[in-house]
Amino acid sequence: MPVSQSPTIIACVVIYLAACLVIGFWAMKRTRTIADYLVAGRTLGPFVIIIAAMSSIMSGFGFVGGPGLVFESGTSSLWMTFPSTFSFALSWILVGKRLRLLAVVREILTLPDAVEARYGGRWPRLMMALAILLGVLGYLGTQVLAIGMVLVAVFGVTLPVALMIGLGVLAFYSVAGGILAGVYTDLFQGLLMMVSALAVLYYALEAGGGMSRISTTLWEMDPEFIGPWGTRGPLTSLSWYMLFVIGAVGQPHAITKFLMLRDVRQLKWGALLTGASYAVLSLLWMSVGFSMRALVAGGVQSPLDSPDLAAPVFLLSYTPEWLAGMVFAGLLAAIMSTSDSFLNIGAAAIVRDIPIAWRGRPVANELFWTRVFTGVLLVASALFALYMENLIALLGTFGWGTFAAAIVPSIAIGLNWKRATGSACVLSIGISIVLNFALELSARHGIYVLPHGMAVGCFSLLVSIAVFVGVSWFSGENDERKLAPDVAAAMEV
Amino acid sequence: MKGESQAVAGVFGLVGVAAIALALLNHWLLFGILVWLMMALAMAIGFGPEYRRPPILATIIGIFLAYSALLLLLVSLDKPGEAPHLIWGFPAATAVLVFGIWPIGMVAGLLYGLVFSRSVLPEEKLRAFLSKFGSSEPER
Repeated sequence: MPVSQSPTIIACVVIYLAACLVIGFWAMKRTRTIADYLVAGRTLGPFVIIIAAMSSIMSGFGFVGGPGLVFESGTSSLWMTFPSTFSFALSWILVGKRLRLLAVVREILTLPDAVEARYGGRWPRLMMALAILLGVLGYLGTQVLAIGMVLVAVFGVTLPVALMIGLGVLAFYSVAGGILAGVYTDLFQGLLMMVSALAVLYYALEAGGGMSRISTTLWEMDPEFIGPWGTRGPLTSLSWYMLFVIGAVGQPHAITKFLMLRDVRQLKWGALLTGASYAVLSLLWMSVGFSMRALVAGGVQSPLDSPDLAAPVFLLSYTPEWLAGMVFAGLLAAIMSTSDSFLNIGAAAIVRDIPIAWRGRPVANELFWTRVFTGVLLVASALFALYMENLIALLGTFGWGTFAAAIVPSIAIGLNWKRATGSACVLSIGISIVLNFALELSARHGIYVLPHGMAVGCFSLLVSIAVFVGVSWFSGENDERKLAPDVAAAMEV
Repeated sequence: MKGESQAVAGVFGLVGVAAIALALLNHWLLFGILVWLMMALAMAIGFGPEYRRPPILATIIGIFLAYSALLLLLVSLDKPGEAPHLIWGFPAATAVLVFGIWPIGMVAGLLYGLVFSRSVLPEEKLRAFLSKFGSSEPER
């Protein structure tokens, strides 16, 4: 990554980090119970939920990897970000009301809590906790590495020093303030990202000479690049669309936000507004990637060493310093807002979900140990990021698809379909973990690659849905009769 | 009603199986149409029995038909060998994606907001539920 060392950019990032610390300190004084720590005591209003859900989905991958993917493969990558207008609505339609009402009748602080309430028995909770933990480890590692790289670019320090600065701030507000600090920093971070995205759109179009000129330059370079499928082709694009439109409903860092809502009636306009907010962020994803590629193709910009440099090089070379500073802060915001959500659900999986599945109760002094394991997860991720980069890359690609395949059937379908069974839940989660890991690993080592460019996550999601529905269909009648009356009532409203 | 909700979930699973087969055989156009169909079925599962109300059913079917029509239009306009006809800065086929497929997803969120009080969470049903199970929940 290029190094800026601009005083304006450094000042913007320092102000941003200081704001996170202030929010963390404020939230620390309001976090007294495990429910405060994991679901903000169910006190949040709709605006906070909307922005927090949006900003936790927009990770460093979206702010850096997204423009990089457009730079590399053209329109193909837009099929990953454009589903958001529909996918957030689908999350609200399938999960929002059901999850929040389940939390009325049972103590639901995590998705494994919800799965146990819905299906009974310990295995569904254990499998869900394992899937979440594996996904969190991979995602968190990539986010931690991204935090380090951004701070190296801003401050010009070494990676270990950059990690100490960034993770120090993240650790303080996540450990001290729990999810309350997480969602209020998400709110601040989300608004920062939206303003940044709109400003960057203007400069991206201006640098490229307008969209028509960008398109013409790119068409002269390679007609497929600016065509509707990009260079990856239709099946890859459509399978990405499928993975991101239905798979988004299974992202735990977004859907656990429903558990934090004060009043279930406040779900009303969230479906529309979250999709619209995310669409604003997609403008940055699209405009920077196309503009930078046109600048390189037109000979204005020298070729990049890596597609992932498209966004940072564009910011440092084609935007005013104040905007670059704001977007670098926005970039850190994107990464940190995803990280704090993962820290929260990862620590809950270790301290609450797995012990309850194992021995029927959480550990004593749950709040204290959840704080401790939030810190432990962060340190472990930093060590992973520093010493096991290959494993991080594998688990990073594995994250979204595993969450999608493990959580969509059990939660999104299972909370709406009484015939769904615990055995179908366990089997579909197990298959989703094995398929995602095996196919990613074999593709990485050239052993087997899915034909025609089909995305691994999409394949796993479809198989997991088919297994879940099939097993429930043939074995579900008895389980339906055993459904607890309070859970059944929550599924009927 | 119960059998109907099972049928929707069952069809959702079957369409998933068909989508796998079509993708592996590289019938990407049919695969794309099944993706839209799964999205429409997922909406029907989420709305529950209320999906049969005319405004909801019409919107779900409308979204599926609109997505499918846009996909077919996109394919018919995709001519990499010819000089591009630009619409608002994008080649025509890409413009269908940017100005059609991208924003049309908002209709689902708009529908959810519009039918929320009547079909998603009717106040009387919620009050009955809360009075039985949720004394700690906020009253309006």
